Amino acid sequence: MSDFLARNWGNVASVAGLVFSILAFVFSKRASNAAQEARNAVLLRSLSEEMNGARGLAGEIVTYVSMGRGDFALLRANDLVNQTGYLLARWDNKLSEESKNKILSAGEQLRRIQEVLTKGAVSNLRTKAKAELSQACQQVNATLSEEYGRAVKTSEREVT
Amino acid sequence: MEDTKAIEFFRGVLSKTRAGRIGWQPTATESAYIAAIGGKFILSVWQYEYPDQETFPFARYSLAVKDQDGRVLTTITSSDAGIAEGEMRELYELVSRQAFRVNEKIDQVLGELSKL
Repeated sequence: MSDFLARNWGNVASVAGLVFSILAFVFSKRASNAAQEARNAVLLRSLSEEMNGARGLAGEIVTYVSMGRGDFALLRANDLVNQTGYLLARWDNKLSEESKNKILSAGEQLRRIQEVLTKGAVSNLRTKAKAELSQACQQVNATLSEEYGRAVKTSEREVT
Repeated sequence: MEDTKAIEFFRGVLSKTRAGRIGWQPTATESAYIAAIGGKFILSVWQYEYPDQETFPFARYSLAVKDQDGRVLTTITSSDAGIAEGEMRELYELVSRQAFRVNEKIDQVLGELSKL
């Protein structure tokens, strides 16, 4: 055995080196995949947190409109229009086309809500217009809540 | 002068709406409907009263497309060359029915009626 090693130490060292190289490659690949998965999980958690923030603003708009506080609702609508634009730009490669369509629609709906709220007090609106405003606000809230749920689900799937 | 691209766009929206392929929804603004497509564009259709008629104002219709940043890319009205007033009205009426899911609700009513 020692004779064999003495005669072939170079070959043995080469084979051992090759084995270690393969093992190092496998482990580094695994580590790289794990790091990528961890990064995705963090990103998706961040998406769901931002979607939760948007959902919160939409909920406040619904509340303010139902209380007849158009001024407060308008402030929140301004913030949320910006937020939907940000979400679309920031998460362009993480959102599905369906999600993008929903967030785009919510943004446009908010611009219409802004138009209505800018014209005057909620209490001065005709009954039909008030109902349309209220339904539009609820629709934005429902859309963003749905998107929040979807983002949470995706981030949970990424973690498990 | 006819804007051929705008006419093509209008015909495309009308044809996809006839086929029920666009998810129209009502808005906070009376007589206005929107739909997002491709994750990039917002279509809107609305009705307005033509103000030049002093005694009998009549309804006119518009179709517009905006990009993701809310910039209006083009607006088509029923008075544009190459756009038939009847087709624009048809688009508006189809959009309105689809946004409120009128056909589905009528089917439900018919279902209820058949049980009586």
